[in-house]
Amino acid sequence: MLAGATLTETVFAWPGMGRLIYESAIARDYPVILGIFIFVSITVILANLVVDMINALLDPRVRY
Amino acid sequence: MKHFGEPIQYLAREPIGLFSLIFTIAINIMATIPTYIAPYDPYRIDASNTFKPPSPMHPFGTDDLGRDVLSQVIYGARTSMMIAVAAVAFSALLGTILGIMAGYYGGRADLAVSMVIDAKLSIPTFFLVLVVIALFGGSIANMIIVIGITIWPPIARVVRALVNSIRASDFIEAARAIGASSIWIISKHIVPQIVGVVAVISILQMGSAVIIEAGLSFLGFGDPTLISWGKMLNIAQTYVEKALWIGLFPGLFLFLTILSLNILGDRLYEYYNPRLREIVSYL
Repeated sequence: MLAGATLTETVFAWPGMGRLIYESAIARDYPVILGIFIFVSITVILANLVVDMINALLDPRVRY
Repeated sequence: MKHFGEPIQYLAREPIGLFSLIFTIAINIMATIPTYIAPYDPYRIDASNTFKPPSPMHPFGTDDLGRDVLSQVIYGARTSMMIAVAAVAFSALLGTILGIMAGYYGGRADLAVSMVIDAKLSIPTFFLVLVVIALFGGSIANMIIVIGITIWPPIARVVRALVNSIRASDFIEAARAIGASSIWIISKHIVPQIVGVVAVISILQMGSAVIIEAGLSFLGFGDPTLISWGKMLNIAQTYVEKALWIGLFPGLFLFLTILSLNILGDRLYEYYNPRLREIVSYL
């Protein structure tokens, strides 16, 4: 899905993190690359957490 | 080879399954012997022949430098398939070994492998591959290694769960009781049961590997000496209005390849789990 973001933003020239990581990779801008990685990883983990919580809320059989 | 008869029969019952199977085989043939199938040399630049629409001489037309698009598509199949098969073979091997270690031995091995899997899964694959390829260059070896290293976690996770559930069965206990070693149990009892699932996941991951490779080539990170569908699509961007066929055919083949691989994987999964089979056959 995030691959799609990179390709789409590059093709349509929309400013976004997908295109940012592509351009930083070309320009060897390491801090930006690291920053994007951290941001995206935290987002993924947070999203998993939220989904698990919602699952626990909606499905009475799930108990943590 | 006799084991392939039944899954192939199951696939061939529907037109879509049959098409996927035949198309994948065709792509693999194109990938193995491109020199004998391609009508022209795909690298040959012919300045007098640029932008020719599809004709009997050039079934897919020629591109901006006069190269034959059909030959380029055939050689592009080789690049995609080479990377996909090698990367997935590597990741299947690595994932299976780590999954069996984690599932069978449990304890600290399990903890270590699970932590690595969880860490890997929270990192988006494409970004990681993009950054590594941008840093280390886009040669084929780099792509195969990087894609192989980034897509093994799902296999390891599934294998670990499967091995856990198999390990609890009675026949394993019986085998241990008569003194079978761990290696024997793993190779004779556990491996035959996970090969099916690993094969299905590997086929699906081949589709992922093809699209990752195409995406990287499209962005310009692929191997510059190789023809790739992604690179053709990148070139075709400029000429969409003038010469649609430069991008249409690689895009079509890319789409059909990934579609066929996904359908194959899906149907094989249904074959191994009869409960999922649809009674109604569609198109």
